[in-house]
Amino acid sequence: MAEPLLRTDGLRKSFGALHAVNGVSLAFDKGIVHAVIGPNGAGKSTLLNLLSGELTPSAGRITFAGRDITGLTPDRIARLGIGRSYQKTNVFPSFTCFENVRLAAQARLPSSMRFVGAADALSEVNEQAERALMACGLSGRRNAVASSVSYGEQRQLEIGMLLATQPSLLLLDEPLAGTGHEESRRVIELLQRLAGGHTIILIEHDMDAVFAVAGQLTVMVNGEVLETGTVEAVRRSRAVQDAYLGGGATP
Amino acid sequence: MTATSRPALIVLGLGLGVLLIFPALADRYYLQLVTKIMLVAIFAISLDLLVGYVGLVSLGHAAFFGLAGYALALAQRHLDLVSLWTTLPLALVVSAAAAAVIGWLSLRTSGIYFIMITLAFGQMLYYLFNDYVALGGSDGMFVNTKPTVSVAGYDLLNLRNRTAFFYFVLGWLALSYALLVMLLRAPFGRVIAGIRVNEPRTRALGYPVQHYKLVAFVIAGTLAGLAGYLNAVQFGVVNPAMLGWRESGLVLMMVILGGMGTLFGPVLGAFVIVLLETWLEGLTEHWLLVFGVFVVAVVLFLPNGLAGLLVRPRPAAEPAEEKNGDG
Repeated sequence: MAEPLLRTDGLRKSFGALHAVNGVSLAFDKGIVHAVIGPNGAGKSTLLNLLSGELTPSAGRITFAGRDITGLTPDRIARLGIGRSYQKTNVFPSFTCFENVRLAAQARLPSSMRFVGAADALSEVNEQAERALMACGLSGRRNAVASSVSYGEQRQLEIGMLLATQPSLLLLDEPLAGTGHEESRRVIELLQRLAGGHTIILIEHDMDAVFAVAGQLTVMVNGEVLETGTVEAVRRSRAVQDAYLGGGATP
Repeated sequence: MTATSRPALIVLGLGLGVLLIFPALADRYYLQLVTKIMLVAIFAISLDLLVGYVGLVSLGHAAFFGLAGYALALAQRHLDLVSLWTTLPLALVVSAAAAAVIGWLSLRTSGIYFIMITLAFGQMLYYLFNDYVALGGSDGMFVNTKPTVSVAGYDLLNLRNRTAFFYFVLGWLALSYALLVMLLRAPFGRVIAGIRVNEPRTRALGYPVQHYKLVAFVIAGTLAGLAGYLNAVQFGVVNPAMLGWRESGLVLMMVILGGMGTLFGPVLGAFVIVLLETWLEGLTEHWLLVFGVFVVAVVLFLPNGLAGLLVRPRPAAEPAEEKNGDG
């Protein structure tokens, strides 16, 4: 078994007496979509915030591509190749769709602390941005201001921004949250396309989406890992069926 | 980018044309007044970089304006430096270093706390120069001689000549404006626009946002220092008021009334506010009341400032090529 792309060892995050994430040790393999599910308050988003550096762990260790990244700042972690999307749409609302992905692509430059030369003229960045816009299905909305496009398109845009940074690991926090039926179908299709070539940690409540794209599955309850493994193994797990998937009925 | 949108360019071009021939038309009084306005405009666009483009409202920006002036006065008195080639870099370095220290400490806060801490630093410096006799005390200090601008013993420019000094300041204003336009169009400018619109997202994309904010703060402080240096040269005197909150507030007003995030708006703001101040002062001793009415009117009816009369500011960094629904 190859070394996992990302692993956590005894990861814990406490807010006072509450252990939001409590001793989580998980391995995320390269090229696999690994879904993390669990009831509200299970600590899924906290786990993601620890991985992306937005929260600092109280204890434990995070290793990414053989490197200890525990406690690094979010921008350092992003530059190392971990990109994330948010449960609540998080784009640049007054920028055009293209400018959103362009700014994301620009983050791949060795340094953006450049004071001369128009940003528009960076052809590599522009091409990368166009590719990302195409990949997330928004080429047609290129020059639309982000706040003016539909909610589902904003979700797509956020994934496009993520792709533009060319991360080796994508953290997706409920990409379907708040989308309508048609919109969620489009986002699921997008996730399926991504599943081919990317390593993804996916937090999602929509089980159809999870089963459509995930290869590995972790179930969290009360900040702890209840079960982890292949989707099939976890679905068959007695503990999971009792606690989460609903009273022993095999789907 | 609104700083270079077509109506803005037309107004800028016309304005530059008028300024270029202005010394031929104006009397001594107006020549001096417009010279002052132009150096204040440099001060205003430097603050616009922070307020309008990064989204950092500073109430201590006059600190850098005043420090550069004091650097010139002190360098003349104690180091006998008279050349522009030594005093100007020295003044700019002093402002930049002060901005680096104050920025490094202040940028740990944001929003209202950032306003308060920059105000506090400005006032600390004000009282330092006001109370410390070796630094001139409350009377300030004279800048006895205008800096010389010479190469190999040949005087390029005589700053004692009012017309020469007018063009000197105009040149610096044009250069500062061009410098900021360049920064804003460069990758750096796009990142600070991202910080203004959505700072956490910018960080999550991989940008070390604190570094960017500090660099912007130092650039703004250095340009404010340039304006303060020119101010000290023009009036031959520096005083603690140059560093104080009133000066900081006035320049912030120029930025807001002029139209923040447009660069040319704050230039308009500098012209309108200094001219109004000067004219109203001559008309009535209750001029601040009339001035207040003007401020209220602009804020109520021109939410985008005076610049809003010319362009509708678009914060998006991309020119609008197609009609979009507005969010």
